[in-house]
Amino acid sequence: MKDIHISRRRLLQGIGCAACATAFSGIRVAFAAAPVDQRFIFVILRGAMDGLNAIPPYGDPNYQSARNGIALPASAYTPLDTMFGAHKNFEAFTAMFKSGEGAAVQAVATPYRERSHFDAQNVLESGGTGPHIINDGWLNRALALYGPQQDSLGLAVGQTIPLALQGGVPVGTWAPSAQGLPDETMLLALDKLYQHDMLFHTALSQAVDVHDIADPALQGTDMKAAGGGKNLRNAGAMKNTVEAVGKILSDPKGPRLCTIELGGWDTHAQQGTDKGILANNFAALDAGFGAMKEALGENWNKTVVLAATEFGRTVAQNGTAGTDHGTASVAFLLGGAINGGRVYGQWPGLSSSQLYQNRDLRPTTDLRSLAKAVLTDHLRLPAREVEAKVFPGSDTARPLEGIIKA
Amino acid sequence: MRTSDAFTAATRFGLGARKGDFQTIASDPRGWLDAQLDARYVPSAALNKFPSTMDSIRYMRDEMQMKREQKQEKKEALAQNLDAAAKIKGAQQELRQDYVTQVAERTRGMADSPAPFFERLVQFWSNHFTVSTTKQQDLALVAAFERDAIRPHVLGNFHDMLRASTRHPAMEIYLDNFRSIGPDSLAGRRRDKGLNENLAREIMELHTLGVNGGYTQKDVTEFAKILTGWTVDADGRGDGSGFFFAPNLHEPGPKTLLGQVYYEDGVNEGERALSAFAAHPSTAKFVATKLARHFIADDPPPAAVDMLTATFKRSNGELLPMYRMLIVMDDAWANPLAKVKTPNDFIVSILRATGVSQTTDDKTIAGAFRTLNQLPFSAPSPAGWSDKGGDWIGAEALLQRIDVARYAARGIFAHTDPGQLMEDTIGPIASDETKRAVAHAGSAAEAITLLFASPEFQRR
Repeated sequence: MKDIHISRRRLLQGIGCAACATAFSGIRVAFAAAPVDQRFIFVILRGAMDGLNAIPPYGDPNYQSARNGIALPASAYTPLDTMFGAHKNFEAFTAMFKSGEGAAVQAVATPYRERSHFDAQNVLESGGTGPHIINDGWLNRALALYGPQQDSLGLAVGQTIPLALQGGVPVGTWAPSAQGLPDETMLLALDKLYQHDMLFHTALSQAVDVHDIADPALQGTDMKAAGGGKNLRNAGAMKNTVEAVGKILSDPKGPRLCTIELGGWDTHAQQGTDKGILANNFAALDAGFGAMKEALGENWNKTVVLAATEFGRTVAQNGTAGTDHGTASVAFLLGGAINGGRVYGQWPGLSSSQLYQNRDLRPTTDLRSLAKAVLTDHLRLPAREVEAKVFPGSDTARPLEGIIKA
Repeated sequence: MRTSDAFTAATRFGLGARKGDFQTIASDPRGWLDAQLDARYVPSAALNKFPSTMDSIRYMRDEMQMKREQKQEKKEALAQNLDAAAKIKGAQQELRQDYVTQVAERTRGMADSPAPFFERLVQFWSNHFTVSTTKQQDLALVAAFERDAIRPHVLGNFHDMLRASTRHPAMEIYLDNFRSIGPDSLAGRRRDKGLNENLAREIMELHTLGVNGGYTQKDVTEFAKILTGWTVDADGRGDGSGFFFAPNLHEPGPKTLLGQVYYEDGVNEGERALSAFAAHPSTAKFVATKLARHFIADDPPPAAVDMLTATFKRSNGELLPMYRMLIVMDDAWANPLAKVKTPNDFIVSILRATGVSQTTDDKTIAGAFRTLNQLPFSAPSPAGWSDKGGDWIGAEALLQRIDVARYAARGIFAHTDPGQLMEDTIGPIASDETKRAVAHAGSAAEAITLLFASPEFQRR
């Protein structure tokens, strides 16, 4: 892999127009004084993950009967405490739970109470009180709080930027690929070509920024096994992709906030228990968890990972050995910076009178309470600003105390 | 008339300009589009070579049968099991190979079509009623779905397309309805099985009323009951369309949907419900908004949406008046670069511009779609592919597009005049930057790469 630092330097020398110089050199300033050293990875689980089989409440007397047919047998989970277990495919998570670097929060939901995936994901990512109330993402608004030096602090894993990271602050995207940047002649020509088209020019600048960090960090890494990062539901591709992401995040000048998306959770039919489509997805997610810790190395202590889904699934199985759209689910917290080894949240119970609308797990923790705790306690953003600008209208969702190490 | 109108007709409404298009179109861009809305249009003959819906069902059934047998044999003998595994792998590869061929033929048909506006509408509706190979059992059915459930109704009535889509096995399988069972039906009582509400919800949310269209969770459940029995004709008992209504799966008794009581009436309940959805004012608004987004701007002007909504209502869901309204709307012609091409548009427009679709092999065509994350019939969710530019242009996505541009340029530069190609594809609206870039590039290949990578070529 060619050394992009060198070509970048040449690029900068070769640039004539003032606009291009600003576009390509602005990042340098930002790297000189990255305003935050903590890392945060937000894993977006698209499709509504079944939290009741991810972190099964095996100690609830109604778990087996309420989930008749799809409840996990004892052989399919590892107890975390006397109430909750982890699906056996969460090996890395369970190990981290035991070493205090992993936690779960049960019965979590966004403020959204309907059952559309797409509206729910809009709420999950926009951070609004309902769908389509805010047009940009809560992570982008959090980045904006770092002031004028926030460029290139954000990174989306994939070809495009999910709503959670979209907004006024430019962020990069990265996916494992073989070719890297076009040569510098082409780059210069493209830079001129795009000078009057904001969308394309921003994307090009971000591509240069990200590859400037990523390519040297990944020198000697074989990206073929990551399969283009396109099928993260494959545990091997997930592991390889996340290992690369970890290296990029480990770079002192690299991005600090990152999103990873994993789909395939919409298990309407034949979801399985110890094995099956859901168990396979757990394994892929867990491979990502394990790889994050591995790849971040000593930076793991400065890292928080939050993995959340748009809503949960029905408690009872539907007519096709799967589950339909529900309400509360589980969220995962990982990293050396958290107080792990606990399942947080108030358990609402599974008897029919305890369910939400007689079918779903009742939400007891607002997902924004977790996000706000991460932003204020971990990323050290001012609480008042987080309240006003990142999660407006979230005053009822107090930051969850104690999840981040003091 | 603006000089950009020929570009808009060819690119926004069509699938990109070919040599000579602008000259043909310039005198009457709207007339050129209107002429394509002709029921006598014959699409690519290759589509008829795809297996029929019934044959596709058989392929999928045979493969699933083989899988079941393999499970059985697994218990019996390891050696046999290996044989069975190899057999299944072979069958799967064959289905995948067929799918790649179908994707390539569909693409060629679009790239070479004399009615690109019609073909764009096929894509639009195919995306509105998304089925996807993310459900593996749909692999052999997705192309048949577009051909048999979408194409015949593109110039017809929305209700007919909704009905054809809902009944098609690809949709029944994709959204799980084929095995949804009324809990009190004959089969339900015998097997302790029940409802699956996936299709019921998505028909209301994504195909007709829209998420704020005025339905509740209760309506979803009731509609799911109404749809029980709507299943796949796996044994050839039906009318040859692939649809079968199985009374023994149907939930008996009255249901209440959107305030209307549906007394027990078998398959007719679902037919009635679909008619009601098609005629619902929320559907008019929802469909109008999506069409306006596709043909005007990511955030279309409300006045344009209102006009289209009124047209849909007035014509009782006839689609031709909607298209004709779009053609004459000033909003649709005002900003010729308002929309970003999806990867699909980008690839098809390159093939149209270069005229190499027949000489580009199946794997290369499918590979380009895969590189840009938009392999046809494989949308990640039932909402289909996004129709907003910001969802397609990220840093990495742009690099991949540039790479596809470079690859395409490599194939044609030896016998192509870049300046002429620019005139033929974006001539009426080419910016000074793009003209300069193409003129001053170091080589023909580089010039063509820059042309394909330019904002004018990547937008529509």
